[in-house]
Amino acid sequence: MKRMNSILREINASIGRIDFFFVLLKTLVLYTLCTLTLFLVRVSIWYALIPAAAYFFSSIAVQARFDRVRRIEERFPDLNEKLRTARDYKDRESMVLDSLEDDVVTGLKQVELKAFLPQINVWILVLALIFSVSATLYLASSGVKILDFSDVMDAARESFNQANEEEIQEGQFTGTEESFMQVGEEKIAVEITPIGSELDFSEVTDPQATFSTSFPKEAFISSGAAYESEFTEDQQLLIKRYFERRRT
Amino acid sequence: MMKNYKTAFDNLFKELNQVVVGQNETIKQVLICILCDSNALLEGAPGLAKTLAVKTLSELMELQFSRIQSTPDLMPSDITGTYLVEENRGKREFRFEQGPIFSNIVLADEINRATPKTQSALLEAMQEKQVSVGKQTFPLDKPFFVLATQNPIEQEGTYPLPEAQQDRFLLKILVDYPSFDDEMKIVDLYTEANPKVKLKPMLNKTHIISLQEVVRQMPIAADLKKRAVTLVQATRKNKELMVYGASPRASIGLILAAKANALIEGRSHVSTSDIESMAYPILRHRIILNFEAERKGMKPDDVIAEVLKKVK
Repeated sequence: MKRMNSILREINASIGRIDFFFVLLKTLVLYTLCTLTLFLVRVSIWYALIPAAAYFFSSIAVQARFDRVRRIEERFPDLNEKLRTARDYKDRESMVLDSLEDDVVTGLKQVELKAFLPQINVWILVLALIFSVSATLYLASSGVKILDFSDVMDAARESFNQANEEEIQEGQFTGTEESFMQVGEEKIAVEITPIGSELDFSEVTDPQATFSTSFPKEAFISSGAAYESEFTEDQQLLIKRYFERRRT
Repeated sequence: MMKNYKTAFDNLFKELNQVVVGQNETIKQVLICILCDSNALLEGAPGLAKTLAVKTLSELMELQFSRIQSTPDLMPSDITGTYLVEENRGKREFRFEQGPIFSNIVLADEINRATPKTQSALLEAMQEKQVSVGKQTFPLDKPFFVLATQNPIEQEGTYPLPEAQQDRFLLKILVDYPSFDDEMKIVDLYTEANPKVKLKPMLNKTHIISLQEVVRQMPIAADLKKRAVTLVQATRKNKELMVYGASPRASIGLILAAKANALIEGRSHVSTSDIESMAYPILRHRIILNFEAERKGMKPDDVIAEVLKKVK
């Protein structure tokens, strides 16, 4: 069938163009609606490109998989099974196939492309597009917003930090090993010696800050006896007097 | 072009209806068998104009018609023919006397009354399109078509065709009783003044052979072909209702018969309706129902309808 190849190319191109236009229109509507929403919550409108692009590419992929010949057959029952058969035999020649080709050509003359572009849907989409663009422009000029997303984020961040601090203060000694204790979410190695204590903060990012607020009483070791043994009684009295003088 | 075929077949039916009334579907299926260069098994009660329909069809197609009345004492040589000693100018020599099989349309009446040996001789001729007698082989004329009839009642003393033999028939055509109106027409036609209808031949051998070629050229969409094969395969897979399903020969037959049906309908392509309408005569003698289906009182056509519903 000599003409069938060009007929099929024409069908694919024509319906393909209509499908592309329809998908593009829907994508634009989606993009403008997303822009409007993002504008109302003061988020960068560039983020609207993500759902729009996702919709566009997925729709194009879905459209590419549709059998356009079947779509014509569904809408024009006169061509039902004829067009499919002609497509399957497009590279063959015979008298019967010539007759089939003539039938297909006659049937295709009744096919109107507007049948594949529902006008009501197009009008609805165009109106939706006009509405969303107008609304975005109006709201931009009047500065209306539902909420500021950056403020929400700051507040959330602050409350999170606060909650974290409280958690650290409530930290308890939960160490299962003699030399470890649990402070909030972090582990600190504690080594206790008879005359003093050494703390290893190598595992903590800000050990002193954490230590100052969370170091539990149990970690302190009283070693007064050791200090006293280093001063003589005279020296102790001298110091005592000094402080009494200072007090008066 | 297809409209010309349609007109030719319509005229054929119109001419045929002068003699045979109310059997258009049967005649159409017989015609499909002829166009597919195959054979048919006809099942129906006596008195339904089976012989008349086939004989009239052969007249309209300018084809040689012969009839074999099968009986238990019918011998293969009664069908194929035999060597006779003939004296010619003082010399005696053997001459082959052709049997009734040497015809274009052979009606084997009540084939199940013939012995298996005679049935085999006939079926071999059907399959090979040739007859072997002794060491000699005689090709049969083209087109060659056997129409075997079976009586669904009076099964006593018969040799029912085994399933493997039945598979060789493209279609099993069920001849039903005519409707009331048709029967009234039949009564009028054959009880009033005896009109000697002069039938006008509509086709000839050459036409039929070229039509057989056209049938094979009929295009069928790939998905329809797939559906036909799926349908035949479904009969093999459906063990709920069938013991045995149809063979791949049924797939070939279904597509070929659908093509012939499309040609008779004057379409330039095979449609779903062709596949669905041909599924019944193609499959009904190729499936064996199981006990469950028999218990439910189902007939092969009911099972085929079930399969058709499932295979969409």
